[in-house]
Amino acid sequence: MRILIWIGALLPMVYAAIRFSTPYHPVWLREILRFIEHYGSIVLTKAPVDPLKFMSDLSGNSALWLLAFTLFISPLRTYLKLNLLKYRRLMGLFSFFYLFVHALLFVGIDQQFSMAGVLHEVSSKPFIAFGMGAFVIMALMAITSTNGLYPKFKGWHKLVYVAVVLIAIHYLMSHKTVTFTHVAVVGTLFSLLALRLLKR
Amino acid sequence: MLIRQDYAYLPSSEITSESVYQERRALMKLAASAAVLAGSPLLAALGPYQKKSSSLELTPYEQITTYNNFYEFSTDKESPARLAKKFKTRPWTLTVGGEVQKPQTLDIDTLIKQIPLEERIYRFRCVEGWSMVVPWVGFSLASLLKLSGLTSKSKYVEFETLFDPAQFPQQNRTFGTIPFPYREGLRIDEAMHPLTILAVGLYGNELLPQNGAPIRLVVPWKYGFKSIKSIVKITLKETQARSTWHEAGPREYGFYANVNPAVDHPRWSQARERVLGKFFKQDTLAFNGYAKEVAHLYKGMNLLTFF
Repeated sequence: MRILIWIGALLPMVYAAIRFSTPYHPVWLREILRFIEHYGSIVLTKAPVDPLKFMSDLSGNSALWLLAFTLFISPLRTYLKLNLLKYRRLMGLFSFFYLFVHALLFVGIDQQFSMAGVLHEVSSKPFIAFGMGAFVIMALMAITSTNGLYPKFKGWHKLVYVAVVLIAIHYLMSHKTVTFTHVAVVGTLFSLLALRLLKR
Repeated sequence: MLIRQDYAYLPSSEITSESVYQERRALMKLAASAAVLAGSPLLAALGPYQKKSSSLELTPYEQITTYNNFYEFSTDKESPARLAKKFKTRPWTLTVGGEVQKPQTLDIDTLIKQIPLEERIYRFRCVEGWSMVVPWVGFSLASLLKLSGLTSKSKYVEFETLFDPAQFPQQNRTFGTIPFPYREGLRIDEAMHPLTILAVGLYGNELLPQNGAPIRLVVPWKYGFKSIKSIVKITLKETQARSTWHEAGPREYGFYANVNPAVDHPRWSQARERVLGKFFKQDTLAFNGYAKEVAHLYKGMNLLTFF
């Protein structure tokens, strides 16, 4: 199970590596990728046209989906008697890893590590503030997730509910128009929260 | 005959590389053979494509034609190229009406033969924060408007994209998209400015549907959404012209929508931009680098209010 989670969680990185290395693919690899491209609705043989946006979207979406899976673990145990609790920390940390990449792209590439720039963006744009708020919460959770610290900070981990709401708003705001897909994604996130709250 | 004019005034250290040049030559050979097959009047008018010197590094043809905002086809950027394959650009008529002396309906091929075409290499900056450099082929909007004759009541120009839900899948929907038909507008002095063109081609080739075939507006100092695609109607008005994105989100998209690094979008900064194909951002220029030519149009206006 642990190995499956590792593979699943690293798939987005593999995907990015394939896309960015497109110009250097040997012929055999290109043919295999073309084959997969033909039968699956996924682009594999084209370098990203807007690379920063591509990485930003990929990391953000991966963080969101991994967080959703993390939230799914406790309802799975309650309703389906499937206990994956011991993998929850690993999945949460993977989610934070992508969130970290996402935030690093913003702070490092977008704002060129200018703290004044970051502060200005956070204070003037709710869209950025929501995202950054979720990042701070997830960072605190990641730091206090060690065996030694977790028992002391267990209560604080309830803040994940706040993080999910912030992420949902940030996600909805990130698009110029809200589509069915966006509503479905946020609906999924909120249903997971509701499932967890209901059992109490 | 084709008059080639370079409006890429700003000095740039980025000179077109040899590989890009070769790539372009190969593309042009392809275009030339396609022209023989299709008997395209535009390509006949253009003659063989020649490499011209420009200080700007052109965005590859492949990127310009596969990364498109065209909400009539899809809200994502890769799909329009795929969904636009069967889009019919002939027969096509363009109606010029409203406050003009002589309202008229023009056939696109007749129009292309009537007005001399030129190549214009322009920077193109999207409100979303990405940018490219495009070698358009077209003619000044002013030359078309003069054909219809302006009056003292011609104060704004309103453009409209084709409304045809059979060809534009998103026009069947009401949720998750913008209201159709797409409309955009300019003030008359902006419309008559020599930099404002109607484009019918790019890279010496006919426009592809995803780029707004058969005829589109290009206003290089404004955000891309002002440069409306696949135009069927141009209406001269005495009152302010409509603008689809401005009406959808007046706080986010201004009527003027001049490229301005000092005015942020409510969700992102406009100070810098992502040049397609490049990972690191570059500074965005006031009026997209065309301040010398157009800043006087807005003298005395507070650009923080009229963004």
